[in-house]
Amino acid sequence: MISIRVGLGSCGISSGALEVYNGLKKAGQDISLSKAGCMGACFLEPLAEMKVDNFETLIFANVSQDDCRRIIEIGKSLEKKKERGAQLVYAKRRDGELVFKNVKYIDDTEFFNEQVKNVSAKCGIVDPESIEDYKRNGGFSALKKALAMKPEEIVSEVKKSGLRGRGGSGFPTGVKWEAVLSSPEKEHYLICNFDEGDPGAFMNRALVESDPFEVIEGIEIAAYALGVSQAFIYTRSEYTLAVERLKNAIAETEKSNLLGENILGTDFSLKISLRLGAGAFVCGEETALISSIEGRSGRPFPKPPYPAEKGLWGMPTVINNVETLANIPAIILNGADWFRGFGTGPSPGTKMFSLSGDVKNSGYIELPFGSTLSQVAGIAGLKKDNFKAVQLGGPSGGLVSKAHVKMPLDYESIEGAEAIVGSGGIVFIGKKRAVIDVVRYGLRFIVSESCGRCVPCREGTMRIYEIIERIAAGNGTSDDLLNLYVLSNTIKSTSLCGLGETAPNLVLSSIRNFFEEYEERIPLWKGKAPNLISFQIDAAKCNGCHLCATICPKKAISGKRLETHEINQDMCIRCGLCAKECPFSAIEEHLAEKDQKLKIERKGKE
Amino acid sequence: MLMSGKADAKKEETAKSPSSYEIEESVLSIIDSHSEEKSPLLPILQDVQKAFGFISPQAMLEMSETLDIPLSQVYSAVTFYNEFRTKKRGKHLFRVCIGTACCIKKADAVILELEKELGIQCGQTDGKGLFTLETVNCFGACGLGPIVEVDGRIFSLVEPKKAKALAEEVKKKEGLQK
Amino acid sequence: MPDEEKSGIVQIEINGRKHETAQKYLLYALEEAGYVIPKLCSHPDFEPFANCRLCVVDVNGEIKTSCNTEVRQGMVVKTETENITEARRHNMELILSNHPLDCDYCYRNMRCELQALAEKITKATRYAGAERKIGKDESSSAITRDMDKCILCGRCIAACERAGVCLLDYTKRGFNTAIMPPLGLKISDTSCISCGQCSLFCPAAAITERDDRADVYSFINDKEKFVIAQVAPSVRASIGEEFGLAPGSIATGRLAACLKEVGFDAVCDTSVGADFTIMEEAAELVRRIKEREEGKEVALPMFTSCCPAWVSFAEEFYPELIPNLSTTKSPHEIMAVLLKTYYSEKKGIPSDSIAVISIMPCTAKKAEAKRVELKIMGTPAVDAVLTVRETARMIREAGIDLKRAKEENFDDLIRDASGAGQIFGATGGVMEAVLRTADFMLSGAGSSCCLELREVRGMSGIKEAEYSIGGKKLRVAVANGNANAKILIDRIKSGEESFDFVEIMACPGGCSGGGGQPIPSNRKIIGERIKALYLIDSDAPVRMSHENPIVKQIYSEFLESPGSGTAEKLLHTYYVKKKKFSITD
Repeated sequence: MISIRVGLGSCGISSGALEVYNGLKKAGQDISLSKAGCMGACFLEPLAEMKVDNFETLIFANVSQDDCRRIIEIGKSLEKKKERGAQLVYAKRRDGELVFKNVKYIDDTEFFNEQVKNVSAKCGIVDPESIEDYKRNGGFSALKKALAMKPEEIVSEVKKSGLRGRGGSGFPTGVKWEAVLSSPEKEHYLICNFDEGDPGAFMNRALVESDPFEVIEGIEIAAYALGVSQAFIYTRSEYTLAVERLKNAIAETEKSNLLGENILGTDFSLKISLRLGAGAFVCGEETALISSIEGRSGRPFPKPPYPAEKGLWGMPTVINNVETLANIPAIILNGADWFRGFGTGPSPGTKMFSLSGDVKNSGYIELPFGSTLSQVAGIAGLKKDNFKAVQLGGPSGGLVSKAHVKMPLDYESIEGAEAIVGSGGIVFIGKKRAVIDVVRYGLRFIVSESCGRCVPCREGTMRIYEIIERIAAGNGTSDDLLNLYVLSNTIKSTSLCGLGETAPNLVLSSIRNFFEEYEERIPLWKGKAPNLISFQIDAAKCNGCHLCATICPKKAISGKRLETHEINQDMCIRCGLCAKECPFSAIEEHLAEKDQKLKIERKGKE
Repeated sequence: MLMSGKADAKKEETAKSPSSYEIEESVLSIIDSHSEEKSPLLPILQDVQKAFGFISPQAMLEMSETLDIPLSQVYSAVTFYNEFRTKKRGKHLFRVCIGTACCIKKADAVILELEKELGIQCGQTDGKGLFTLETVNCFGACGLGPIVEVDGRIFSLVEPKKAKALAEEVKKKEGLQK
Repeated sequence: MPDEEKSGIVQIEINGRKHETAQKYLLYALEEAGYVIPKLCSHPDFEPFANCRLCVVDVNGEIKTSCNTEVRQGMVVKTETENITEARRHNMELILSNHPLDCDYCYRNMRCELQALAEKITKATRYAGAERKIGKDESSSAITRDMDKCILCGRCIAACERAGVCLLDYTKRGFNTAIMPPLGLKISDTSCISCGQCSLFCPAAAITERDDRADVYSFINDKEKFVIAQVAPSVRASIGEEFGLAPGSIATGRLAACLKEVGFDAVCDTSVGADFTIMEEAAELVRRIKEREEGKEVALPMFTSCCPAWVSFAEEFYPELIPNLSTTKSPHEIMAVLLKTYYSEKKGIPSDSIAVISIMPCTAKKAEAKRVELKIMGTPAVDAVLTVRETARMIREAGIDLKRAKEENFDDLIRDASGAGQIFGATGGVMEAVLRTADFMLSGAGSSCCLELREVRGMSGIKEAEYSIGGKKLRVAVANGNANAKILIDRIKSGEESFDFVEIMACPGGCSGGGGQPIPSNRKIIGERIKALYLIDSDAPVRMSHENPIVKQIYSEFLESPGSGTAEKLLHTYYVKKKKFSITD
């Protein structure tokens, strides 16, 4: 019996997988054809997996409609125990009798060999539209186990596991759940946040398209633990296929009496409703998401009160990312200790990352926290000499350089590099691209998605965008650079919500890690030989306030607080930021040849 | 506010623009279909957008009156979310992704090419109401950028040449190719 | 209210000093301790908006907005640090970078919260770039909107919600956000009731009262015209604030003197008009009650109608209540009628050369004066309406300091008002005034002692009481702020409660909190203004309208009696159902 699964996620479909599916149907009349989700290797789409009797599964990659006939032929030849067509096979799976000795196992390919697929284990294998297939692969056993536990036991297990919010905040999930349990209000809500709007992040989409039942199961267990009888999934409306599959999964689960009234004969009843976003990235923010479901424009509210205290319709509400909830079934089945076996102490477990940009192997992967950026670069097939920069965490994240290549990917280390994990989007930027352009794209996105409520984000992000545009076009001045830096700090410290707070991250991280790109574009410095001028700190005026040391982009100024500071002339790039910012006018520009002191004009301070 | 019933000259066009009464009936039945939900404004707006291609003042008034929500709240939601339109878009909708990964793959060049081919600026609809060109902040198919969606179908790896081909195919359908 | 204290005192540290406070929000605790914190969107009458981000302080090492940070025991607060000063300056510069810097020509020059704050922080901005250009809307007869000056603080949205209309909201998003009425309509095509509460709270010049001074000056400069100014009850207790007097200072005589200096030929007291409103309305109430006792079909409860913003609200949102509205005209309209008939004849001035200018705490009166139903002899009875703010400008323009003016009395022909007429400016005042006279009318001849109905006084949104009026038990209710009126009306319509007489004022606090009152207005200040009015009442020689000699005289000489044919013709009006939104393609 020839059975073939075709990967039908959005990426696959946009590459022609539907045509392949139909082509296979036509070419092989009596084969068993089924749908699967996405394994994660976008660059291999369309993918088709074929199993013949007890022989190992063969995986064909970059399949076109023309290949369908050949694939059926190979299948038929295997039925007759004849080996043929190895050159078309991309890889094979470790299940059943060996057929093609010289073809690699999928787990050994450079894309998959380092991955640890826990959450995405069934993606690309189960039929996302069949609850039976899900059950056959162990689905809903976690729910059965959970319903025999007490809610407090489940919360304590999740807390013990150290699971942190996978949407970007990294907030300990168990702690969030506990806060709701202790509320006196009887009505609680659970919202699954599927508003993945970060450019560069698509692993949530892939997960939901490929294994929607796992998400449903995670929601059910969470709802049971939290005493919730009405849960929502807030999803982006742009993800049409994922929405369809979710609707289908909910309907199928209800039909099997695994959702709805008295689930599995217990007192637990749950209704899951879908709510679609309408094209607003900011609705991924918790309070904006709540506003959206409540029928208003999606503008965030100041926190506190936090949603766990006063959320949807004023009731305590837990909002968890899709990936966070998808982790729950495995934690319940295998225990918190099993979960802690992956990742690092403060960042346990695995994370799904999406790879795109100037790399060969784009797609989503799953790695334990603590894996390094160089590992990811390897998986992505990045050429060492093309590694210029990496954007982590989308436009709210940061840009890191080759210097960070050994950085472990976990919440603590990434924050140390002035970036954020965010939802896990990783975009590789090659040598040909200008980092400043990447900053520009990101700011363009932020400006179009700002809700407009608070001054620093509404006005400030537009202003830093205008400055970046000027600099990118070669019309920037050194004042522009100074203003860019200080305004970014104000936006970061005074914005009302996370979108504004993280809006300047690309600017700040690129100034720190890619200052040369700014230098190249600001005409005032072009042609001014650096050793003609130098900046000196006047000991008589220096108060040791340490401001200059803080803002120096090259960390060239040192000194103890309240003591005279010193500029390392070898490291100093003569940008002049320190002189302009010094509140005591203690730093002066000297012309080395003529030994004259020039006064710097300080703008903006009265 | 009243929809004018201008019938299209082409014989293929069988449906006339709906009358004001028909709009009201449709909107009311959409509102009714959500009567079991709490705070159903957004789902209702989405259904109306899908049914008519835009949200008319009349539809907004109906929602405001029936749901007992201030008209300003309805209008605020309609103008806040990218998905909702207050004017009908063209018959064929071209949407280009300008997410980071797609921008890196030169999505801006794709936009320029489509602007040239369709004869409109990004964000506009042409005079005959046939084409609309817009950008989208990320379809979530970043691995295969640049991404262009034409009439609801997503195409990947669309560099300017492929974009031109997509535009030409649609123009052919409308009998505009020489 | 946000600046009212919550229970429980906590200790916090501010700039190294210990401080005890019972305030809920940190901003008010800091102000209480004597610190001046920059703030723009915050207002004590509204829950915090936290939009402007200027009130930032350092709380336990983090930068937070103080307006919405709740005070906690042991908090360590710093009001000035390098980062905070920088942040405040940047945010002010950002606001200014998107705001026309034309203060010298602006209507609110020298009287603008944004300008005053910019003086303290910075008036220059280094950020130049795109600017929002939205334009002006001058379609309303009550307010003017110049949205290029809007700083998106959100106060007008909250004020309009309190007024029950909910007309304004944020539209679009991001840099292009604008606070607009829906569907891009002009204000005059919307459900706006002209109450002007939005103009009362706008910290910049985005929404202002419509400036009608030019019209008034042309009347004054027209030698053929005899221009009479009439002063509303609440104005005497509030106009002093525009000249530095404390809220609640009574400036009646000084105001009359100033208005003569400005060029008015005569100054009258609208409160006398109020006395007539009371007479007619009391008679109307008595008539309806008697008809109910006779088993006739009658519209009860009766609602007051002297507040034109409430009338517009009813015409648009509750047209089924139109039969319940009292048909009696509002005080200034009645006064205008008397001036153009009785006064005109007695003084021998042709009525078409009399111009009546009402000086009101209210912007809705500007719209009311233009109502077709209120025309007499083919022209509007009231020729122009000035808010307290415009009037103060005119006095200043004439170079007069009201504080030091010598007191003068009102014009000698139609004066003095009773105490009842003067408490119209307070919420509950109309109710109390009408019941005093209804009691007399129901009990027959002989004066009853003056009723002091304390249950209907005060700033509560909804007040209910039961009184024995003329031997009959009457259930009454008073609401101020249309959002509260809506709650009350819904209760009445559902049958949950029943009343005989209801007073509704669209503005919180009644006319003393009106949209045309001096800025700043807040609950405390409004409370002081109201106190002054009740003081005037308790000191007044005549406290009940039916005992007022001038009222008796004009009825006997001219109007016959309350509810007579002449009174019906001149002092009563009617109302029409209105569409909320006028949409044309």
